[in-house]
Parts: sequence; C-alpha cells; structure tokens
Amino acid sequence: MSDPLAGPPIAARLHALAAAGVLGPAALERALELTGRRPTAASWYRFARFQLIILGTVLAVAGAIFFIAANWDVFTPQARMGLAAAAMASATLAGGWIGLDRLSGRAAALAGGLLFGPLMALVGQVYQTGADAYELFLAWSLVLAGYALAIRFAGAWVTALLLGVVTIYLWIDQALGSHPFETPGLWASLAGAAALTALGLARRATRRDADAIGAVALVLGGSIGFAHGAAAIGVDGWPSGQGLALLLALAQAAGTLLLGRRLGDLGLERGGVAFLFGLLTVAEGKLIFDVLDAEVGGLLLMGVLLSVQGYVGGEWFRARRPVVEDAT
Amino acid sequence: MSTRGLLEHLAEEGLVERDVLDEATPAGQKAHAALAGLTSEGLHLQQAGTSVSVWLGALLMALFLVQMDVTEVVPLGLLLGAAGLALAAVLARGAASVLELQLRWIATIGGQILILASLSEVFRSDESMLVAAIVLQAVTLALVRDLAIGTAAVMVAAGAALGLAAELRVGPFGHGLVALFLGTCTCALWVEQAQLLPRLGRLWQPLAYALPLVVWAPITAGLERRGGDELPLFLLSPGDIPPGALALSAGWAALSTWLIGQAGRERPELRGRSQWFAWAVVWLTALFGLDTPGLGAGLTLLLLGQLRASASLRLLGLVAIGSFLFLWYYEHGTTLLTKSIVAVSHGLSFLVLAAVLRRGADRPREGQGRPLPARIADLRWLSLALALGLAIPGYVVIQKEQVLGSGETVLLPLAPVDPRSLMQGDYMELRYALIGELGDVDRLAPRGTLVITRDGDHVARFVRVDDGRALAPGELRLRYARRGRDVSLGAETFLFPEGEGPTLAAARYGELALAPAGDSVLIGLRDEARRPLGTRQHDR
Repeated sequence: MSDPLAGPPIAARLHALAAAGVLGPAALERALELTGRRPTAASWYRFARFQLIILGTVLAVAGAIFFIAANWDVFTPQARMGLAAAAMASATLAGGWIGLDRLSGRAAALAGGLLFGPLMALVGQVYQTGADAYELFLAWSLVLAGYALAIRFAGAWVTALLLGVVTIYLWIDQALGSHPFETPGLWASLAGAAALTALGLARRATRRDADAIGAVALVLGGSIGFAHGAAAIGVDGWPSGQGLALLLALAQAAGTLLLGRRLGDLGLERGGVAFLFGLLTVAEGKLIFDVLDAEVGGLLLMGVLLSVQGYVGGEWFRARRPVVEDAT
Repeated sequence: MSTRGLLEHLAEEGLVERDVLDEATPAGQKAHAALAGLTSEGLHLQQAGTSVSVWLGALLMALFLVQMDVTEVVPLGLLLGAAGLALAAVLARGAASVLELQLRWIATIGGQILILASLSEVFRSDESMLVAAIVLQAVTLALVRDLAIGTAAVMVAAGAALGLAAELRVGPFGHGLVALFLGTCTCALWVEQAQLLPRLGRLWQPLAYALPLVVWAPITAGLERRGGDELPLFLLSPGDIPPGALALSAGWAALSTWLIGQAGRERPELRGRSQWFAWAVVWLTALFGLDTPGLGAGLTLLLLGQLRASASLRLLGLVAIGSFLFLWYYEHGTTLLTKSIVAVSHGLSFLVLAAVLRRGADRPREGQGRPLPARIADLRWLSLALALGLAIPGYVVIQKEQVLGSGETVLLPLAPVDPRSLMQGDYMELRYALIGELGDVDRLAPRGTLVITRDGDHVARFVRVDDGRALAPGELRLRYARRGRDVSLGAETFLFPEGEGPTLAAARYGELALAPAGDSVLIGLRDEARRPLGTRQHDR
C-alpha cells in the first residue's frame, strides 16, 4: 500500500493539489516558498552572473566565427590572422590572470581555446586549404584538449570530444573518400563508437557523481553504434564489415546493461535494454516487411509485436526499481 | 520534508484545512485523489507505461485499419475512433497497471488516427485537417484524465496551430506573432500559477508543461521554406518592414520585463538597482539585435526557468539560444558581417554587465582571489596550450608562403558549384577537368604526383602519372591524393567573401601557385579569358 502524501513535495504534486483546490493561492505560494521554489536574492545574483558570463562568452565566440565566415576583405589577410591570434592570446592570458578557480577566468581561457577554431578557419580561407577540412577540426580538438587539461573544466573536454567526433567523419569523407556505412569508413566509425562507449562506461564505473564527459561519450557512442547495428540488420546481402557492426552494437548494449546491473544504476540498465529492444525492432521489421514481404498484414503484426515489447519492457522496468519513499 | 509534512506545516499556519491529512474526510479524499497518479509508484508506472514501442505499435495497428479501408466508411471510422478515445477515458479513471497505462496510449493514438483518417475523406484541404486536429486534441484533453497524454495533446494542438499559420502563409512576421502569443501564454501560466491553477483545474498542468516546448520549437526549427532559404520564424528577411522586427523583439523584451518585475514583487529585496540592472540587460539585448527575436525568446525562457526554479525551463532556454545561433548562421536574409556585429556586441555587453554586477552587487566577495604563485602556475599551463595553438597555424602559414613565394602559376580548367561551410563562410566546390584525363583511378597509388605542362596562357595539360623519370623541359609536378573513387589536388574548394558569389559564377580556371616538389596553393579564380575574378588574397 502506498500513501500519496508520503513522497517529497515535488512541483508536479503541488500543482496537482492546487489544481484540485486543496491548496489555495496563498497556500500554494507558501508551499513553493517552503520547498525552495522561490529563488532568493542570492540565487538571482548567481544566476545572472553565471548566465551573463556563459552567454557573453558564447556570443562573443559566435560573433568571431560569423566575422571570419564573412571573409571581409577590408583588412589584409595578415591583419585578419593577426587579429584572430591576438584575440585568442588575450582571452587565454586574461583567463590565467583572473584565475582558473573563478568562473570568469575559466570562461575567458575556454574562449581562448575556442578561438583557435576561427583562427585556423581564417588560415584555411587565406590559403584555400579547403572548406570543413578535417585537419582543422583535428587540430582544434587537440588544442582544446590541451586547454581542457590546463583549465580542468568539463565543458572544455566535452567540446573537445564533440570536435573529435566531427573530425572522424570529416576524415572518413575527405581523407578516405569513403562513407561511414561502407568499408573502409565503417572501420573508423566503428572504432570511434567503441572508443566512446568504452570511455563512457569506464568513467561511469569509476565515478559515482554526475559526469558530463562520460554521459556525452556514452550517448554519442551508443547512437553511432545503434545506427551501425540497425544498418547491419537492415542492409541486404551482408556486405563487408556489417557482421562486426552488429556484434559491436550487441556488445555495447550488453556492456551497458551488465555494468548498470553491477553498479545498481537503473538509468544505465534502461539504456542497455532500450538499445537491445531497438535492434530487435529493426530485426522484426526486416523479417516482416522484407523477408516475409507482409504488406498490410505486416502492419498489424508489427504493431502487436511492438506493443508486446513495450509491455515486457514496462513490466521489467516496474519490477527493477524499488519504490521506498511512499511505503507506509 | 514529505508532502504530508508540508501540509501539516501549512495547516499549522492556517493556510489549509487539517482535514486534508485525513483520508476519511472529503478534503482528504480530494487530496489523495489529486495525487493518485503522482505517487512515486505512480510516476514510476508512468515511466514504465510510456515508451516509443507502444506509440509505434499503436500507430501501426491504426494504420492497418486505415489500410483495410475501414475509414473509407466515414461513420464506421469515426465510431471506432470515438470508441478508442472513450476506452482511453474510461481507463484513465482511477489507478492503473502498466498494461492499463499502455492501453490508454494505444486507445488514444489509435482513436485519433482513425478519426483523422475518416475526416480526411470529408475534408480535402490541409487547413481544415489542421483545425480538426486542434479540435480533436482539445476533446482528448477534456476526456482523458492522464497528465502525460494531456501534455502530448497540447503539444500536438499547438504544433497544428503553427502548421495552420504556415498553411495560411502568414509570413515570418506572422509566425513570430504566433510564437510570441504562445510565449505570452506560457509566461502567464507560470507567473500567475497561484491564481490560474484553481481556475483552470487539471488543464493547467498539461498547458504549462507543454507550451514551453512549443515556444522552443519555432525558435529552432522552421516549419516550411517556401520563401526561399529564409527561416520562417523569428528571422526577418530584408524585405520585412523594420517596425515588424522591432515589435517582435520588443514583445519578447516586454515579457522578460514582466518576469523581472514579478521577481521584484516576490522578493522585495530585488527591487531598485538590481531590477533596473536586469531591465537594462533585457532592453540592451533587444536594442542590439532588432532582427533576432529568437535570442530574446531564449532569454525569456531562461528567466522564466529561474523565476520558477525550474531546471528544465532553464535548460530549454539555453538549448533554444544555442540552436538559434546555429540556424542563424545558415540563414541568408542578413549578412554574416551584420550578424557578427550583433553577436559580438551582445557578448561583450553581457561580459561587461557581469563585471558591473560583480562590482556593484551588495554581496560577500568570493574570497581574496588566488595567490600569485597559483596564478602563475595557471598561466604556465595555459601558455603551453596557447603556444601549441599558435604554432600550428604558424607552421601552415610558413609552409604556404614558401609555395606562394617560389611557385609557378598554373591554370586548371574547372566546373564550380556553391554551398556554405561549417565555419569559413561561402565557398565554391571545384572540379578540375584534369582529373577526368587520369583514366582508371583505382590503378593510382594513394598518394603521388602528376606530371603536367602549360600552354602559353599557363593552362595546364596532363602528361603522365609521375613514375620517377626526370622531367622534360617545361614539365611540372603536381601532388595528388586518391580518396576512394575521387582524386584530390589539394584545393577542391574556393572560399570567397560574402556577396561575391555572382561574380565568381563566371569562373572557368583555378589559378594555382605550384612549387617544384608539386605542393600547390590555390590563389584565385579566372574567367574564360583568363582574367582574375573577385578579391585577390595574394599579389604575386
């Protein structure tokens, strides 16, 4: 038996009580105040300062990128490159001078690292080294990793990771002249997915607190691996490398599920199950619509199968999570 | 603190009746009923019962009935659809198991599809179908007492309303007004929640939870692109009258002003200087970016998230701003130079205001700052990263300048096309005619050099793939790299200043500086008569 009043007074519960007329306007205002949902003056101050610094940095860097993309020819190429290098150096050194223990210092230093991209883009413009060249993104991700080491700021690592992933796909296209779903590009994409998943799982296993780097790596690796696994199931004729793609996808799902079980991390477990169910759905679709060539009848069969899958997954989820807070 | 503890506290203060704590009383039963689906177990069940598998399953089963031509007999289709919605309404009364929760979704989605498919046999225009979809969502919201389904219904209805605006071709300003209206509704629901909750009853939650997502959508995604490559919402093409842009930006700034005023009413200590400071930030944003109401909209969501202590709303505001900036880059209505000035002026004003806030605020300082040795250590590591960051472009510049200084001029015939790169602006893709003369590309080594000669106008002609033999007089080496079925000569794109595209459309030759070892730098483009086109980056 569960007591509806035993749980914490989260916002949705207060809203429901107010909607039912249990809490009048004054009672709701007081309840929100008591539960910390009326920000204090100190909270407003922190919010304003944090957002002004973060948004200010992002907008200034975005403006620098727009300026370089405009390829404005009023300044000489040397003057433009000099300006970009000076902006990068000033932001970096200002960050160090303000101090990396302060948000403003870290934001300035990170802006310096981010400005490396526009500087390289500018060099690429002046010497026509190619649009979206993978070398630019490779250098940017490496330099940003250097900044991340110095700044010790998760946001810098996450940005470097994202740039690294962009680099892989530009490299597959520009250097290999291939495609991520065909060999040899497939090997690089699979290696990237495996490395990202390994990084994400390793960080999840060793850190119990919120870890943005691990979470981003896990989501990226899982998304890429799932796309390859689904493509391997869906493609006709089993071309080169697709067997490995499917094996990797299954290994990613199993690894996520098993680590989640070992750590008692339901989110991780749920991710692993969703991954497996997703692959199963693609396999069912392939079997029904492609192999059996069931047309209209296939819609009904697939619909029933998916509903059953949803039910099995739902019951599994319900059974996995202990509910303790409402026990009377 | 538990909900019970909170209600006891409120009862002690005389703000609620003590009866609400006793399930035996009518007030207690009302409280228990209100929270029935929101207990920890209820929320957990909602998570278990809501899955993409179930939604897709319902969709496919309904499509099966549509494919079986059930909806061609309109009364039958409407009857079956209504039966689905009625079943969902019955299932939504009282506590539920996972199966019952999933059946609610299946019955709702299936019922809605059958009704809409039946109505499509009667209504032929898209506008009528969108109105029908809005009405159907309203009926669903009224009938099915399930918070998650109600929230989804509001989202679909608002999405259909935006779609209707697109069908009616209201134009970018009209879309902006629709979004501003939805934003005003969102702010009103949250700011006046204490007054509106008792009046709207169970409708308040789906509306308040879904509308911020619907406001976010038009900031980040265009509904249609009929007017060329302009984004239909929030971004005003040059043809729009300035008062329209001003009105939208001012509208979002007014909403933010309201939110800041509300913060002062709820926290009197925020009134005065702090409030004026916040208003200055909001109106400066509007002033610096008259044609960027999308940025103002993101800031409004951010402020609303702070006012109501909602991390989800704050995250939505940040995502909206980031997505807006990304899409803004690819919008062609405003020049990149103007966008650059707008973004930099916003960014710098925000940073200056952050510094002013720190100096002016009456709060304890964050300590005395880091000691000098620690700062020097920070600077040492940062300097290393900076040195790496400056060395890489420095190396590229030296290498390219050497080629430019010593290279021979070569013209390569080409055929161009024109997109926009991730960061470097507008560019032309170049296809060199010489590649077509190479024959079977698969037989080429992955990397190597080609041997070419030039005619009197410096136009290149392919001689052979370099096999190590000494060059004959007049022959030059040109590096290549094989990439799958393509061959790269090192400069397959030409980046040019914004606005020069039409001039460069006449390009017929790529002009290269070619060093003795075969390294090249693309200097510019030339027309049929070999005349240089557009801005010259390098004078040789």
